[in-house]
Amino acid sequence: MQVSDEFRDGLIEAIPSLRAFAFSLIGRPDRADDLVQETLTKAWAHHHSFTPGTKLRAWLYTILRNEFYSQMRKKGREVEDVDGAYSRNLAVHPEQQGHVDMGDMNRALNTLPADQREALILVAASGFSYEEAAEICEVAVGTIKSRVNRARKRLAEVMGVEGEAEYGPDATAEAAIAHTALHK
Amino acid sequence: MTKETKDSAGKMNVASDKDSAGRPRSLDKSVQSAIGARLRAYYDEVAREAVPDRFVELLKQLEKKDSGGEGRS
Repeated sequence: MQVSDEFRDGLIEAIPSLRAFAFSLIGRPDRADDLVQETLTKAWAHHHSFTPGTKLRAWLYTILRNEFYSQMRKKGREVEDVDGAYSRNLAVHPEQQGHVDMGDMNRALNTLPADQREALILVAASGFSYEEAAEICEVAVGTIKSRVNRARKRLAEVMGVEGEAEYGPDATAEAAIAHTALHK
Repeated sequence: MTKETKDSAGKMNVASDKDSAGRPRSLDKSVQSAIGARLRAYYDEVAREAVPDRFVELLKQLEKKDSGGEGRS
């Protein structure tokens, strides 16, 4: 059964978004693009298992995510420490225009556990709903909400973005955890 | 709607990080949107780029293979 034009066009349209997601997971542009390549190849091979009219982008994200974790397991690596904390810190996307410090953001994202990082990116950057993110990550909606919440809090501390709700007995503990994560 | 709790001195404490049911309160809205803006800017740096040739080539190869052409694997 041939791949439809619609499906192929959908893949092309999703590439920029997939690259952004892959980069947020991996922190290295070259390896992120490799992951996208694997994802597109798999998606093409499994096009028959995609139901036309349903959400292609979410389906592709699921493939990419599964591929990412499967590769991490094969390499026997802690997902939190993808390629070592320092290589993520230094990775800069080739065409950055200086509107945001990618290094800063990479470092900040690297202080998050993988499940919080991906939940946050899916909801706050990729534009998925909590329900869609829950499907992609195969967890309950409540779990996603809680991960996003914790991720935002950690990022706020690490990036020094202040807010009234953040002062309290937990702030010191969280800062200590973030500090430890940075120096693992 | 602001949730208000009382601290041990019985004073109203609007900035408590737990609501009255003891659940963690969400981040201050302005903090949330500041984080969101930075995340989207980070994400968009990549998402705005033109599709690299390697992917255009990949899809061409995949299509060729499908139609029985001599795509290199």
